[in-house]
Amino acid sequence: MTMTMTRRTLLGAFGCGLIFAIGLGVSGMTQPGKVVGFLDLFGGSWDPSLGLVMAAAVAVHASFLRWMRRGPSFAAPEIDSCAALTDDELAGISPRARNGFLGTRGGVMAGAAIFGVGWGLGGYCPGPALVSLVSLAPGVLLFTATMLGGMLIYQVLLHPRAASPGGPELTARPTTRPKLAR
Amino acid sequence: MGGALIGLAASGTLFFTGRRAGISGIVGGLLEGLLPGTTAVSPAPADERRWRAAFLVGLLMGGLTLLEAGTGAAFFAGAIGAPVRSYLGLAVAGVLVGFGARLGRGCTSGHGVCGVSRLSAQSLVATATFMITGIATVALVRFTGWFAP
Repeated sequence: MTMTMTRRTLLGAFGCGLIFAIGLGVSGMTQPGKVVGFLDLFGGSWDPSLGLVMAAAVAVHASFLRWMRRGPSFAAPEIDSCAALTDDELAGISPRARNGFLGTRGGVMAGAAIFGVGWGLGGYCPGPALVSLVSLAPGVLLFTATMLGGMLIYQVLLHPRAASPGGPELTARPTTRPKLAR
Repeated sequence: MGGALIGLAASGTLFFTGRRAGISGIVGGLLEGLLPGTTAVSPAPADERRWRAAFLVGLLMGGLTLLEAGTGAAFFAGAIGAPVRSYLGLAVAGVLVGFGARLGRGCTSGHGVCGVSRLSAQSLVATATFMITGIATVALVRFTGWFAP
């Protein structure tokens, strides 16, 4: 987003965060017992309700994406419709310019696998943990603190960064974001 | 109902910011450059940080709203009241969630809602992967009794 950020964008982001949090709370995602119950396929008391929550969220968002693709006059800034999740685009480097398996599907799968273990163990994913901070419950504070720590560990160890002197140069190139066509 | 709100918020985020509402990306992006030597190849512009911060403030305000609206621990059962896991379990889980979400380029929101809605192959695979390991973990913890509160 290179253009000057408008107040509308900031207010919109604020409002969306608010709605997101209320959606998480109303649906039960902020209750780790309910999350664990959803993942507890083999415990004899499976609670499928969060699956319906996710289906509803996907249905609404997918409809929105369809609607957006249809309207040629849509004026939001720099909508990207088709790329993989965004870090490498934002950093403006091609995945191939990175070392190791980070830019590949293997990295995504390994990360998702680790994430799932933590999700099942703690019953929180990042959004609900942040929303639950307001409860000031020690368990939530602890989880969120170590979660931020985990993100920092990733950043220090693995995140692509500006090349250190003498190190291999990562080739930066300007990203062209695909417009929402069709 | 709650799910529809989540979908609405994800849509609104895309509409207003042109970005996906992936919580781990929003938070992780804000952490970028916090520690010395962790500056990204091209740091996110200040504007990027501003809308992410605005989103997070909204998220916390939403939490306060829930806290006010719910009677007792209604929306935060397990945080307030009987916990699900021990503190050690929560601490370990936090590290795994934070690290995994960043390495995996997304969490339940980025992959599970935004990515699946776009039918992104990468997100479908990621969502299936974390569902499977999550289910396996819950089964293992149930079987072994580890990290009981």
